[in-house]
Amino acid sequence: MNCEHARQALLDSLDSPIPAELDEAMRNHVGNCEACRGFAERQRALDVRLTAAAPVVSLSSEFRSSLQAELSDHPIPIPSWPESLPDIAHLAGCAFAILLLLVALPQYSAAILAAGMGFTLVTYFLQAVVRSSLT
Amino acid sequence: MDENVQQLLRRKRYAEALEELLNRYETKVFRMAVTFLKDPARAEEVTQDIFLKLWQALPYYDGRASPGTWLYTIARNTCLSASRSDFYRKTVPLDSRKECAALRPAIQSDLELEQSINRLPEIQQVVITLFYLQEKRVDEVARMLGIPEGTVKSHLHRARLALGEMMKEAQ
Repeated sequence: MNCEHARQALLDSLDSPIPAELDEAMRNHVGNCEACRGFAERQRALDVRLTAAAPVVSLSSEFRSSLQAELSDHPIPIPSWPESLPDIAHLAGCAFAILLLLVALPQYSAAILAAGMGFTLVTYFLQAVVRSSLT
Repeated sequence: MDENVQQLLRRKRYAEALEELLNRYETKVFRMAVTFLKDPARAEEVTQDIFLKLWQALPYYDGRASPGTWLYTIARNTCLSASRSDFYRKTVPLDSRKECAALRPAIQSDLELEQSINRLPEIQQVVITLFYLQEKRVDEVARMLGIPEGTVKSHLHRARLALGEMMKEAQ
């Protein structure tokens, strides 16, 4: 293991536990390399300082009661139509338009079917994107 | 736990779903708000706003993301807009109270360390503060910020290297 790998492994070990073999190889390298030993000591000291400095923050005891009061002032909005209604309306509209065109222009039926399917898929994707951005 | 919430939402038992989400996420969301806003009293107000928004959005949950990830998205957007705005929404009961369970801003008990963290790029400040406030969970920080775990680690490593250099200079 070289210095770069040892330092990477050390930094990884501060994020979460690393495999035992990697940990042992890193410790062996750090034990024999003065520069990496200094790096490891600084990083471990920094980790201890950061851990100690992070405050144990918690919500006040009044948080829940205050939130409950707000919730009762803001009743949950019940959707006025089923969630699938926009999809059903979209697909029914496209199917109706395709049928209408097939009846009016039977000589172009293959092209109408292909274009209609393509249009349906593209607009379905677009309206899904718009809906997800609104919710 | 998130599966329980999904089941409750499917059955339209919104009050119970919110209770479950509060039990699991209120402290995490609050710590996230503290990280972004650096003011626990304001963070508590914003946490209330986040759960209020969640409550109103529960009927529209579509199941594409887990409820926790969905909540973190609402929390992140609300924290970002609150931190950018001087006119964040206020709620009377919490405004009138001066004290909070924790009054210290994030990473303030070590002044030298705080000053060093403030010299880091903003994303590194957020990642390293969240990591230590959220009990050193890379996966949780990644979910909160909506970025891959590898990106969190990369920011953490850069922050550690920069802070290590600052400590070396200070010695």
